[in-house]
Amino acid sequence: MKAGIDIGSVMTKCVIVENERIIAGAMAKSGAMPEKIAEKVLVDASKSAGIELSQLEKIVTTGYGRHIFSKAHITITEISAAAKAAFHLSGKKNCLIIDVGGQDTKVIEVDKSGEVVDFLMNDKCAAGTGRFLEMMADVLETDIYGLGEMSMQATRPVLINSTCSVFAESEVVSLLAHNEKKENIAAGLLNAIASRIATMMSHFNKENMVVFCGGGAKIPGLKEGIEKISNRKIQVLENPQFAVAFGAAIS
Amino acid sequence: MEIEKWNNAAEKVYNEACEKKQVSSRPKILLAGTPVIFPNFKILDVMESAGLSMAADIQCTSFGRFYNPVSIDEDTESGIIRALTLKNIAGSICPCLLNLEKLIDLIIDTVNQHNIQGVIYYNLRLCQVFDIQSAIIRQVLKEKNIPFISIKTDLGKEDTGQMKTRLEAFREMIDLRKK
Repeated sequence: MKAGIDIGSVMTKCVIVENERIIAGAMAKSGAMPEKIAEKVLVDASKSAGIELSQLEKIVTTGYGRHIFSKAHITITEISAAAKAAFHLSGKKNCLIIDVGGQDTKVIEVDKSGEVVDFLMNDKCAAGTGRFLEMMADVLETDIYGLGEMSMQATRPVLINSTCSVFAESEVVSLLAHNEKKENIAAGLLNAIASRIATMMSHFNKENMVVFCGGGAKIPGLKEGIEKISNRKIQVLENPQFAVAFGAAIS
Repeated sequence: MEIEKWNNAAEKVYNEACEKKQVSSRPKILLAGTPVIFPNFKILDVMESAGLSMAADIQCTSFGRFYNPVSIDEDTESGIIRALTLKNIAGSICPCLLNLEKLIDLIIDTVNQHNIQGVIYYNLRLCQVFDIQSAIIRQVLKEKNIPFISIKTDLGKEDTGQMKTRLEAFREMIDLRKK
């Protein structure tokens, strides 16, 4: 049995894997003490799997906090882990992975042998990521999933020009002041992210199958938005939030 | 004489460099694009901590200077000075202003010459106004099966963490390929 822990910027996820299948998982907010949280999710996950920590033959960490967990045997980057997971879950085919996380958005190309050929990642700030949508949801007085559901009821999505949280927030505030419907603003925000991701996708091979993982895959309407703009079919991986942790465990 | 002192010291450094064999198993990287200028060694620090080693570069501040030969037409003091002036002032050594085909040739030549395993295109925002080149270089190198990554950054230090993640993933990508 192996454990994969994905210590992300917002959430820490842990899965226990046996014979390349997830048998248990746990998740908690990373918070200010990610090392303690990593320990906690590991204990939680092994409890729900009904095993002792000593039964784990390998613990692999990934994500932003991958270097801080001292019990880890190996660390790999979240890019390699996402590639491993997507390649495995998509039936060992070459694919393009979209990973929308808390602090970064990645597009990764994997070839038919499961190797990372190329990847793009937002380079400096968290513009256009899960955190961005979270902040905007705050302004619209809902949460990130509420924002997605709200966007489904839009009648006429507005055009949001910026994916910078600071500028977009002022745009949203002024749209609200102009009596624009919340639903239309929510749809505009999702469109802004979706078109950013579609631009990143356009740098890669257009024939590959596209899979979607990370917490962002759970936001209603985001997948459809990307599909519409990029004109490609996207498949959401099962348990998208745990996919990277799973990739780490099977590496 | 000063010149003899200089030559002796240069020879000593050269001999030392020849003796030191590369023992590390780190992937050999070509650093292309904009220059690393004192005191901004961020990219080198991050490369080092991500387990990559810079084996060659084609930057205007270091090896980029040596690709165009100094052609002396007259073997006199003024002839030498004229040739040096022509090399350093008349012809641009800036890789950002270099004709794209030449730049790609230069990258591929250097990759072959030094057994390079991956190319980092360092893209400093103040040097390179538009990042048009890297998309085409990425395509060409992909066809030749040479790993490539473009790092867009500036003089600030706040993106060090993200840069490190990307370069570590780049190293993992190269390591997997070796197997």
